[in-house]
Amino acid sequence: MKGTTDMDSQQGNFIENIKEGSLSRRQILKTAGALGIVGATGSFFDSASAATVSPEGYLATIKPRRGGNMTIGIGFGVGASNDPHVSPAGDQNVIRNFNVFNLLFWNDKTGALKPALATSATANSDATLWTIELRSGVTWHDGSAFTADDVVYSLKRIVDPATNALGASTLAMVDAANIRKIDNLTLEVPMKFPFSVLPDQLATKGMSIVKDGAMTFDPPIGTGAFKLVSGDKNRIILERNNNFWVSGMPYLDMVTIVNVMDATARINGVRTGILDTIYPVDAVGAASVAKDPKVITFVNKTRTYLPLYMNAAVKPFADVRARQAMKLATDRESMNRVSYAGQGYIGNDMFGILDSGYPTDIKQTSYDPEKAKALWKAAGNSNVKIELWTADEWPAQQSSATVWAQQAKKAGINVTLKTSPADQFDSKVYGVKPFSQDYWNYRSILTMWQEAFNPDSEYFKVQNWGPEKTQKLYKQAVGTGDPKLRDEITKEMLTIFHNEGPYIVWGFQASPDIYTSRIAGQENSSVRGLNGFHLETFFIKPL
Amino acid sequence: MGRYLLRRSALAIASLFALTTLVFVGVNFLPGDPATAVLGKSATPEKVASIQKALGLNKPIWEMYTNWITHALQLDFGHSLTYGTGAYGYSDAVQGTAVSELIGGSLKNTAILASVSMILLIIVSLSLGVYSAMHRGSIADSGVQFFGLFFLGLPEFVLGALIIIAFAFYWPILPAISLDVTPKNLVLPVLTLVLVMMGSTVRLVRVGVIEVLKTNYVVTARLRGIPERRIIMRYVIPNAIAPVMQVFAIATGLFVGGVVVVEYLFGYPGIGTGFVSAASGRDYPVVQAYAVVLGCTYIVANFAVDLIALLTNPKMRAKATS
Repeated sequence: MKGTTDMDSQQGNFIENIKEGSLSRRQILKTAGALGIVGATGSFFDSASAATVSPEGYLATIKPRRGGNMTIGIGFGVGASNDPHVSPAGDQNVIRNFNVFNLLFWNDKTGALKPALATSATANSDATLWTIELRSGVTWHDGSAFTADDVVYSLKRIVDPATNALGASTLAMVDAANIRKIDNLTLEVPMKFPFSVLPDQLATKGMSIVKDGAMTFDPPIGTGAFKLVSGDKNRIILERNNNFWVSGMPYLDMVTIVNVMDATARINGVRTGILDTIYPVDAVGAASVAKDPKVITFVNKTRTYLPLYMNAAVKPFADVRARQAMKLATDRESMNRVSYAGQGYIGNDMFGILDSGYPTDIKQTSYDPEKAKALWKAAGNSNVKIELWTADEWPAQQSSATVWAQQAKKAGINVTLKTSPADQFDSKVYGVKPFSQDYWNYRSILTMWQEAFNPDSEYFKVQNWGPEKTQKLYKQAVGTGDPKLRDEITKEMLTIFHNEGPYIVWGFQASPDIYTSRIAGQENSSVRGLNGFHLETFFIKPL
Repeated sequence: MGRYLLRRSALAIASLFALTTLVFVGVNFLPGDPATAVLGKSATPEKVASIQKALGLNKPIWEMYTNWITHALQLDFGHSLTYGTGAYGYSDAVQGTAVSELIGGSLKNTAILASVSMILLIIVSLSLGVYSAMHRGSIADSGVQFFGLFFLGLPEFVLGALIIIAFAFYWPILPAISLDVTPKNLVLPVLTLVLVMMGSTVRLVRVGVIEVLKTNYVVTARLRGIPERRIIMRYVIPNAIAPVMQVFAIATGLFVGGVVVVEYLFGYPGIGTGFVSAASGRDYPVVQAYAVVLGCTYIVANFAVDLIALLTNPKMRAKATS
């Protein structure tokens, strides 16, 4: 995979690259000042930090050991419920769910699909019936044995409209009424139509397996690496599950997650050792601690992306030439430099970059304002004014939109940048305004397609793009049990998406973490920072 | 005087009623709602409507108001919409956590922070204000006024940041953030609040004392050779107490806003942090409860100050009796 190799070569020291990048001192200082970052002196431009580590982390050089407590500071998001099927997307909820519960499958740090509570999933010849084998010897936190009954109950509960599960649409293809247990460690999951990538769906975050019959979750009983000791609106305490099914893990005795709403207070907490790590951290925040010898900066090269979407049912984006012009008007390198300090991967208007069905031979779209101008004009848009809507809801959202708007003007695109309050973006802008931004964590090509580009997809209405030819290809892809053929089909789908699609995928997020120097076990996650929220690999460094 | 007290009490109750109404209307007219806040970008109209129905947010606003005010009068602020197993109406059988349970800890933490700050503020303001008034025109008086103005001009978040840099980084003796309520963790938030507030309180105490010092009875007392310390304790402070208490009433009002900012800045687990979290999640019952508590603090403090003024100021007492 040439593209991947090129991207891997970009990995390196975050701060070093800020030095080499063209993100100006003024830009960073201005932003730091605006954010009120205490101690952001700008001196990180003058020398690299000795405390910055490479993304490979410590596991290769330091033997992990058991014991200790790690304190994580995050701004608690909306509400909290220990029920993993309905708890909202606040980071503290995701961290708790990921560590108290498990999925059947998961995407590991490289994005590869790996078994978790399942050991295998096999489809019949037409992918209408899946047989899932479960891991033996797994116990719940209360000591009872994990069985197929738990999985049958969990899957039915997720799909049941009465549950209002956030992940219900992810299992829309499952014929829930007919899921059945074969034996204690085997179950059958029938599909409503041929569907050959069920394990990918089961690896998404709403698919936690709960105990058979569980209705209330106070306390939550899971199979995960940690047990919940207590949790309130300001503090969640987790302790090690000594019977965790991964031998020897987790290493930490305890994890304390505390609510610190202010980003500057969080950074100050790490700098003074009160907190061991925080989430999230932006490029400016990471830069502000670059010279602090007590702090480690660690950059996750994720495949999370923040595309600009165009509603293809609305003028001027209904014309494919307009969409192509918009893509050619995008200077991806500049956006990466400004938004991710040059550490992100450059995008080529496609997603699913770790999937074996990702086409690596498509020429990288490059910034060509003249060609963009010609296409924009040919589409009859010379006098058209468009609005790009943004907000400060997601990392790099505003900065990337600001840069794009400046670039597009050079291509003759008359664009006005509009900013929505962050808490109104989802309800007033996203999917309402024809040209705005989206945010996706990594998922495989067909999982992503199922969520956004089929007419019955949950997010289809946002961009209203999904021509008949890709609908047919999608059905062929999910209907074949031949992985090679499936990859060929997804490559064809993404080629169409690249040429005609509604997304400007300009880059993939570099997500910096900062840690006190006593913490080890960091792993580069393709999904998000903080080891993709899997805390079992962290440990306290020997003195 | 009884009639005055009755009138003042009625006014306080009317203010409380107006406050609760304003809070309810204001919170319910905030853009966004709990359903869209939790659903994020997956907030389809159908899902939003389903959750709104489950939470009772589809009822007419007057019905929601009468329901809320009836319970609020019994100090029952309902259940959180966003916190607890039954939050967001996902379960018909279980409701979210009771608001009183949810905000109790925060209120206690804030009460500790505010009380310690207020006691220190009163001590510092009275000491420096009286001293400054007694030595007006001296270098010490000028110094007090200068620093008073200096701190007065700094917003809490700027002063707090400077204090963090000084005491947590350059001279690392105190924590930069205050995750628990311990004496050590309280020092910097209290210092920030006191320094910001004392700019105005010291100056107002000083002015109040100077006014009293100019009165005929103080001049007469001096002419009679009564020792200065006795004049201060016997004549000046008792007569300056009413305007001084007004100053602290104003300070209480400013405290309400200041505490929220300072708690946020230091990550202190009080109502400031809780208020911001609840507001961002559109957790109406919790936001309403916090707002009512904050507003009541202000109204009750003002009422208490009026009472104190009435008891300590013969002129006011005479006026109230007439």
